[in-house]
This record gives sequence, C-alpha cells and structure tokens, in this order.
Amino acid sequence: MQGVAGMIHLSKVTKLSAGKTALREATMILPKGSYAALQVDSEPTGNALVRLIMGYEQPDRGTVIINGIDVSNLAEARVPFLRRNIGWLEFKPNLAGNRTVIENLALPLQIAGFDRKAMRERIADKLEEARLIEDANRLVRQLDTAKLRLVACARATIHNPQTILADYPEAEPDKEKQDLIFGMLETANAGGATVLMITGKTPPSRNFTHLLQAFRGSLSQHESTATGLV
Amino acid sequence: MKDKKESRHFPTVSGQTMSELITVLRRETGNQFRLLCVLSVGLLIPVTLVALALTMQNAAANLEDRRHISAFATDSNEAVVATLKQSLINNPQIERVTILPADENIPAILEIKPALALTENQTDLLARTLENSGAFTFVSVNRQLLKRNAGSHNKAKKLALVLFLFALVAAALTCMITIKREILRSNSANINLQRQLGATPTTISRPYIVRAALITMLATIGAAAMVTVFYKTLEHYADISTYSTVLLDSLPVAHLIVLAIVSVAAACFAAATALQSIFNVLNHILRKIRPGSMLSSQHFLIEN
Repeated sequence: MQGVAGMIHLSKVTKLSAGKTALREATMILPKGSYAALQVDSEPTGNALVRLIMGYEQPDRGTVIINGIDVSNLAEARVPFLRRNIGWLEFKPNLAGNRTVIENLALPLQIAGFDRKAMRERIADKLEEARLIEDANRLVRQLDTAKLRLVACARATIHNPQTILADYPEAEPDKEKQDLIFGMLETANAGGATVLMITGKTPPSRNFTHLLQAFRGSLSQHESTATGLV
Repeated sequence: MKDKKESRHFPTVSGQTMSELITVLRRETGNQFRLLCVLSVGLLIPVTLVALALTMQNAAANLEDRRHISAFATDSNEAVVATLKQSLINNPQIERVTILPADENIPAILEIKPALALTENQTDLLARTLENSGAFTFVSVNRQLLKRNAGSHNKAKKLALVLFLFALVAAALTCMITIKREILRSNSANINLQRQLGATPTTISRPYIVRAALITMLATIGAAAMVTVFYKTLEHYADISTYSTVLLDSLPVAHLIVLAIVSVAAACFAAATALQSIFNVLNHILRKIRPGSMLSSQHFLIEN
C-alpha cells in the first residue's frame, strides 16, 4: 500500500443524494502529494464527494479508492482506521466546544495513538504555526469564527494525515488568517499529504497541481503546472 | 511517523487519566447532578417496593388470630381478672390479651398474644414468669403455632432478601446501561466528532462507561441512604405490628390482597428490569457479531 498512499481515485462513481444525482460517472485520479482544487456547481456534489472519501457512504456505482483502500467495499469496522489518515477542514468547523484548543488538537493524536510526549511537541509546534498560543487554554466556544477555522485547520493537519480535504478554505475573510490556513495546508502538502480543496467559487491563486470542475455531477480534471487560475 | 507510539490499546478519547475525566465532569456539573438526582429517585422506587414487601411479609408472619399463651387464672373473679388483664397489657412484651370468662368447671382463661419481636425462648420465659407470679394455676404455650410463625417469618425474610438483591442488581444494571445511553446521546456532537476523526465505537464508549459506573455507584448509595432513612423512620414513628394487627383483625383479606399486589409488583419490576438488562446485553453481543448493523443504525451526521 506504500506506493498508493495519499492517492484519491474515483472510477466512474455515481451517487444519488436525496433522489438527485450528486455524482455521475465521476472519475478522478490524484496521486500522492497532489495539491488539487475542485470547483463544484452544487453543494450536494461537494458533500457527496466528502462523504464518499470519508467512508460515511458508499457509491451507488463505481469504485472509490482512498490511500490504497477500496472504500466501496470497506467493512464498517475498518472505516475508523481509514478516517485516521484523512484530515478534514470543514466549512463550519466541527469542534468540541466544551474543550480547550489544546484538547481539541489532542483529539486526533489520542485517537491515532500518539504518546504524551509526542503529543505535547506536536501541539506546541502547531499552536505556533497557527498563531494560537495565546488561546491555547481557552475553551473553543469562547473563540470567534476566524479562530475556530484556524483551530479546525490545525486539527486537520496535526497528525500528518495522508489525505486532507478542505471545504472552502478561502471562505475566511481575514486575509492574514486565510494565509495561515493555506500555509498549514501547503506545509502538509510539502510533507507528502494529498490536499483536495473543494470550493463553489473560482479557486484562489495557489500552486495547485490539479484543477477539477464538477458540473451537474460530472467531473472534469486538468493537470496544471501553472501558478494561479487556469 | 517515527514518534507515533505503536500501542496495542486505544487511549480513551475523553480523558486518558482520572484527572482529565474529573475536569470534563466538572464542566458539566449541572447535567451530572440532575442525572444523579433522577437516578436516585428512580432507584428508590424498586428498593422501596421491596422494603415495603419485606415489612408486609413480617406483618403477615404475625397474621394468626389465635392464642399463643393460655393462662388459667387462680382467681376467676371478674374484677381480679380485669386487673390481671390490665397489668398484662402494660407489659411491653405482651401485645394483646383476651379474656375467656370462667365456666362452671373451668376457671377464667386469659389468651395472651406476645409482641411480634419476641422469640420462642423469650415467649417461654414470659410464660414461666407468668406461672411463677402466682396469679395463674397453669400456663400453656402453643409451641406448634410459635414454630410455624417463626418458620414463616424466616422464610418471608429470606424471600424478601433474595427479591431485594435481585431487584437491586437488575435495577443497577439497567440504570448503568440507561446512563451510558443517556450520556452517549447528550454527547452526540462530541461522539460524531470523534467518529469523524477515526475513533472506534469501543474507544468512544470507554470513558462514558467509566462515567456511567461512577454515577450508578453514587446513585445507588443515594437510594440506599434514602431507603434506610425511610425504613428507620417507619420503624420509629409507626408501630408496624400494631398497625398490621389492627388492619388484619378488621380486614385480613384486604391485607393479603395488598401484600400480594405489592409482592407481585416488586417481582414484576425486578423481572422486567432483569429482562431489559439481558436484552441489552444480548443486543450488544449481536451488534459485536454483526458490527455493520450497529454502524448502519447510527446516523453519521456531517454538519455541512
């Protein structure tokens, strides 16, 4: 599985969502270390893709392979182990509100089985990278939306997952914080993670290796070596 | 991931140490206290039912409306016999005295019913004291009745004890499972988050089981304390034996019906809680065997 780690491979995937076709014969190949942006024309398409990659749902037709694991035929008991290698930055950060920033960052590390020393080191580094040191011991529910997104991004990348999904990372209006979010995603990508950014708008100017578009459930893929928009 | 620990066990998610668990519990003090109060009251119901059954069983053991001691008066004069009766009633070891008036050849007889708390030996001693007092020519003890009553009393006590333990264990088991479910439900947002991050069902539920065990323990202690206070108060401020005797004398059938209803209710409750516990355990095992069914029954909500 080493050679295919970090790969996202959808092969002729069809997925119905609420009676409508969210994905239609969709094919996507993102090799390890890709930095991809997917522009979707509807929210159900983006949601269906995330749910398939995270193993929440299975395709109606076709195959989904994530990090070398065929999610289409994955036993439910194995799904948690798939998710441990995926970092997900949600549009609305799903954080534990009654826990501190440190405790939220510790969650994926605890689940992945890191020891306490390693956890402390990683959390300290990530807090510095996300400039959250001052808020480290504050409860998450006390933070503003911009900081919540920073915490969510830090949590999505702290355990060095092989795949990172980012839902509208450019949605953060504060330019400084948006740069911090993209900085964390790009650092993870430089470390070998495959990053797939999903957006409803034209992707921002970043060094994407792959640009994809979804139109009425069908995906079209372009490789790109150019910087910025295509 | 060179620094990743290759541990064979999964750490708890909500707290790896007791101090972390306490920290989490402290943040939810209001919820925990309310849950604890509800459970204490909930546990109180079956325990009280059984305690009540025990009380009624004890009273039923003293149900017999027949003489225990028959004392033949030396002097059958009515006034003397009445004085004797009054002096006997004043004795705390004696519950009731009935006078059978003197006949042509038979002297006046005083039918004496000893107090409920008296053992067989104490009843013998009481009879000897009466005989030695000189007021009676002959004192007879109905030994067969005494033994039968003592036997039924002991059986009733054992039965009530078994029922009590059965109900307590079943109720505690059910409570623990209920608490676990309640905690899991009230923490569904956190649990969904942990699932999203790749926690297994075992990893997720472990800290909540510990928490549920702690709450069950505290609730049981609370319920036991309340029942003790209730029972002791009843013992001190209500003369159970007198009450039951009056009740039985006037409405023995009604008493038996009440006793039967209470006993059946307690037994039904115990059986129901035990069945529910067994059902929960079986369900848990079934889900373990077929993990797909458990996971598919859960709704993995994505907040987007």
